[in-house]
Amino acid sequence: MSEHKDYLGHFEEIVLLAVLRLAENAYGAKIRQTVAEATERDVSIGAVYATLDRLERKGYLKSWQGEATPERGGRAKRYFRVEGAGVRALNDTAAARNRLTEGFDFGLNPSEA
Amino acid sequence: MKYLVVIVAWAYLRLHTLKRWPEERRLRKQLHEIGMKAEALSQSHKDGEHLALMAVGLIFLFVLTGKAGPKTQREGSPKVGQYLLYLFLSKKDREYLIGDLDEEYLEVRAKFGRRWADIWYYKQVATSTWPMMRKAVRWGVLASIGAWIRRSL
Repeated sequence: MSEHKDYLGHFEEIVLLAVLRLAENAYGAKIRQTVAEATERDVSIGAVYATLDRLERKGYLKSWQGEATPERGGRAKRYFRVEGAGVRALNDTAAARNRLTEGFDFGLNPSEA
Repeated sequence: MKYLVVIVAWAYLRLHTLKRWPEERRLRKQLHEIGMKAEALSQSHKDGEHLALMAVGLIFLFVLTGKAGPKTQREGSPKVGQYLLYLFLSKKDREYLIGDLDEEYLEVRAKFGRRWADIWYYKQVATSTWPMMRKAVRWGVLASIGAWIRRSL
């Protein structure tokens, strides 16, 4: 019996990668901006937080309260960090995608398009 | 925009008065002749009402467009938008979410000005409340099912 694999949804994968990319500076506003720039579309902060909460419940992320700044009206930031399970889920999802696209030649690689 | 409205209002009143001038003069003469000064006074009173109403309308216009005085110059994000988030989000969610929106609002405002930043803010509020509410409802439904199962066992 093979071990249980976790696969991420499309938006979950993008948000998780954005958190990984931002490293120590991963909090709501920055994650939203990174996702919006990467996907080239406007993303609502609510959609990002709903996904972040879901990923945290699954154990892929960990969050903690950060500092409050004047430009935020004295409200605290909520920082996120990718956990080991999150990295495994990213790897599993990428591996599944690679297995499915392996051997195909129908312009899936953007650099060749 | 406001100044255009003021100019149009002034031109309307001016034209209105000029158009009615010969008729008014004739009327006033007649009224004076038959000694009905009270009617003439009433007519001028009506004009005064017209002007007063126009002035009140213009004051409302200035207040609504938010440039009536220094008190309406808002520094932070729109209060109505914040209130909507307070209405629909949980206490935990709104603390971070409003903070993030406020932070980005200042960036957008610095780039594009207050009016466009307000539009951006309201769009974020409108598109953010639904995913957050859906999340809350889903967990609420699951909690209810869990409670029902516990009671049934």
